[in-house]
Amino acid sequence: MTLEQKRQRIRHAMNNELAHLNTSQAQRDRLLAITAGGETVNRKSKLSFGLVLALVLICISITAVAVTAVINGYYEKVAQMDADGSMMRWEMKDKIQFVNIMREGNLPMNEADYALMMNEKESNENREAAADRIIYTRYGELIQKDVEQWEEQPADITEVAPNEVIIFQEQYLAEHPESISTKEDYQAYTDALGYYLRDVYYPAYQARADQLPETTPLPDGTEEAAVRHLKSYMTEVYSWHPDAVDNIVPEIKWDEEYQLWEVSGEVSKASMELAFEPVLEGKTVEVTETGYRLTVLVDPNGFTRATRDKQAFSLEAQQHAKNNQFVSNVSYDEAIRMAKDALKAHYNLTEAEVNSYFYDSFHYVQTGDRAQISTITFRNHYSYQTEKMYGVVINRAEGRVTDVFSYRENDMSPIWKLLSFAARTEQKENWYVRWSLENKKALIGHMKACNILPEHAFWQQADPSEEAMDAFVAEAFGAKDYPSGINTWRMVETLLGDAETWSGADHALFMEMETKYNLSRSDGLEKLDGNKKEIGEKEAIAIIRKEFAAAWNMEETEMDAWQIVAQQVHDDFLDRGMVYWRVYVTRPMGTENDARFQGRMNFNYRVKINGTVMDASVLPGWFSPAQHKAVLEETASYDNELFRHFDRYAQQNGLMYEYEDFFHWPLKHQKACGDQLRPLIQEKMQQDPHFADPRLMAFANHVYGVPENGMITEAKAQEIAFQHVQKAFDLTDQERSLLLPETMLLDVTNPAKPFYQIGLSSEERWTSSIRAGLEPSVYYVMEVDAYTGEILNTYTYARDDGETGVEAWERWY
Amino acid sequence: MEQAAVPSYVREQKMNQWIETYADDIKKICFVYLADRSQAEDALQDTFLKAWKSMPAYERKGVENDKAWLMRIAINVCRDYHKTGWFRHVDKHQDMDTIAAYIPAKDEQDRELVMDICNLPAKYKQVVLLYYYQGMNMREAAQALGIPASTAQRRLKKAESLLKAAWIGGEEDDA
Repeated sequence: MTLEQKRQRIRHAMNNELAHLNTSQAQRDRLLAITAGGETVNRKSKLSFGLVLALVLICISITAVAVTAVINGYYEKVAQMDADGSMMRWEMKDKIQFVNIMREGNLPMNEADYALMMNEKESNENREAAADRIIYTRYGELIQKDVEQWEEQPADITEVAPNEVIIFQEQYLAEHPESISTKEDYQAYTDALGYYLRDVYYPAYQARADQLPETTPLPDGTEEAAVRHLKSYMTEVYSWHPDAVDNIVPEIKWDEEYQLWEVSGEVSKASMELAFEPVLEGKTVEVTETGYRLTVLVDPNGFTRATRDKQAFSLEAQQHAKNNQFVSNVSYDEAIRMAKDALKAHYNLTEAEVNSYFYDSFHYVQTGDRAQISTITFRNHYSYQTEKMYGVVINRAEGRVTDVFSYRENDMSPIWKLLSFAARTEQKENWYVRWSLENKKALIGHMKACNILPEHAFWQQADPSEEAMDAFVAEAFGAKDYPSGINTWRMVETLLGDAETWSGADHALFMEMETKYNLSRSDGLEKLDGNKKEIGEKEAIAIIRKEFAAAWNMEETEMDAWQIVAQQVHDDFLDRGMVYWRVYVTRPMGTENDARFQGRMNFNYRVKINGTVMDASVLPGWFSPAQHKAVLEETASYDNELFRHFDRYAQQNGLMYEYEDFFHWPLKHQKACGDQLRPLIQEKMQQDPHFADPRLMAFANHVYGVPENGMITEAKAQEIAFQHVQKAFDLTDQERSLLLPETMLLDVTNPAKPFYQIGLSSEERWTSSIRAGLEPSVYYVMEVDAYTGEILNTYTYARDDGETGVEAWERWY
Repeated sequence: MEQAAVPSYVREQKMNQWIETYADDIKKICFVYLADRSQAEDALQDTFLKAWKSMPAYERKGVENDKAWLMRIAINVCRDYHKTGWFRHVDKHQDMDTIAAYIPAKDEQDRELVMDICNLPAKYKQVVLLYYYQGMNMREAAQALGIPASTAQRRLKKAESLLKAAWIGGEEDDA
């Protein structure tokens, strides 16, 4: 298989099978907001299914709490403690408070430690240590598991308080001591967690937070806010250590001309030793004698940039303000209440039903009046993998509900039923032109329900043919001259029009559909110009014949005996869908030695349906005939006489000819080839003092031989090696069975002391060893005296991440 | 007056371009590496966060190959994930089953090939993903992995030998 064929094979398989992982525009927008926009994301409480499993296994070992013994309010008190920042501060007094809450909740603890903690005559150090023992005896393992997910590890686990999810797990596992072993168990767990957070934890958290004056955010447009923005920039963008940043003494001055603050602060060099990958270089960071100084510009809206160019900043800030201004007269909580009331009225739901749903929201700013539009979506499971059920759109500038809709199929409008059907079918069967007859008929049924082109003659046909259906569908969706281009996105454009005119419900339903079914768009398709028609199979073949012959400077008629076929492809893996002809060119048998083609027999090319031959500018590896020729010629010119000698020897003797296969060769061939290469390499080294290709140095420095009289055989040496490894490293029979000889050579560089060198590894059964639950084995190398069988040396080194035996050996040899 | 290296809105445009162009590829590579969809999504986010934070270094070094640079970040992010204790406790057999469950079988041969790639040891998987799937040349792949080109070449050869069976059965290009 050629390189290009391998590439296409893998690319096709990966894109085909992993198409469901493609991101949607909404996801990409969010990525940009998180990265460039400075939006922070709390990952600490996100649990994947696998992590929950791991946590549960640990939780079971913790002494279960009898639910009836827990005083009501334990979890609420923890939530309130969290709200006032105690969990973040986590000093001695906070730990003592937490332990007392644990005690009120009847959680077991060491009485001696409790007494020590409460003894005010004890040193603070001892009291805190006692509190730590109580807390981390109970929660330590769970916290450790959580912390391992963090980007920056704490210096000491006792710096980390238990979070709300860990606290919840105690209660849950007391009520559900069985393991979470199925998806249904996990669903139930996540629902329970969701209710806990929504109905127990957050209300208690919020109640406390509302009482704290310090939590009132500082409004922008003040010096204090400008300093806050500088500090945020230092920690979030430059990754400077928060402790250092908190202690800066900021300098601030107001620029009346540009209406902005210039704020700067300095941190010490020593404090940056604790930071994780801080940005300490570049034109924006000033290195002083004592530390690092950062200056930012901040406008009254809080727009911040690390720059001193006030003019450029001012322009950017104005544009940012313009882009981000919006009108909102309804708070988020009020919007939720409005949404729930709308659901109850529209779908005749009870208060209890609506309150049982979990909800999400997404927001955008309407062009024109800059009204903030919020779409609240409701689902009946906490897990984000659950499908949504309802949505409500609220114009928060006007304070009114503008749309109420359902994601459930039966509630959808005929248009959305059609689009949903098309998206589902496209996911399975690709674009319309490849659909089954049955699904084409079903689409016609949906089109009827949508009353599309009601006066068209097509509807008069009692039993239309497939051709008639195709023609009608093409005409209905504005693809009369471009039938191959009909897909769901084309239907969306036709039926819903310009996205600017869509309702909030349309936006929400489309985003859901796009994400769920991984739709490809049509806006990248090239429409045909003027009267130019879509080319057919014969035309595609003719185009390639002509280009190929021109590239190789041959008569087209020479290709008459070649096999050239074409297949139309609807390619979804480019982010904008593409339709093209794939043309396969195969030379006839008996022409293998034609030097023009460097032994290559098969070629394939891609031709757009407008007749343009695609090349590597579209996608690397998609060569045009001319590019193909250039690549083949470049490969042929590769001139490394030494490796070509190696290749020739291998091919002549029917051996594997990749370099690292050399030490799998029979010893006689190692000797013969080594004896041939050695003088060539040594000559090369004399000609070029800098020549030191590591792959060839072994040949220059070692002499390989075959067993001679008096030496033990290869098989004997190998058996000695296996026995030695098993005994010396205390391997079980199973572990030994996973070892295979990887390298074998007889080093006769010193004729008086020849030795076998044998490498053993489990590489060939790498995945098997993992599946068997064994740790990946080390690589064992033994030197065995060729005469006595004595083990001369044994070397082992851990195999890291799939390092080959040869690679490991090369490091040593 | 000190000038910023690059205006921030230009950086934001650059980031936007990278996300639009490479997000899907990076996510798929992370998924193959981590065998977990939610981890892959986190890794995708972390990759672009790190890229954003490293923009000054990127500009200063005059990086020529955006894609190789981003892929290197992504692979390092995935390596870091692998180092966490959680992965050490996970039964990797379950990982492969999880991957299999995530991949709706459109074509059995394709699926087998993808599973074989997922089963490769990490060092082989990396070079296969970059060289074959991402279409990088050897120099670019080596640059992305931070290894010499000769090492990348050897790993690729080894990976090919491990994938031989999958390819022999699945070739569709032969006329």
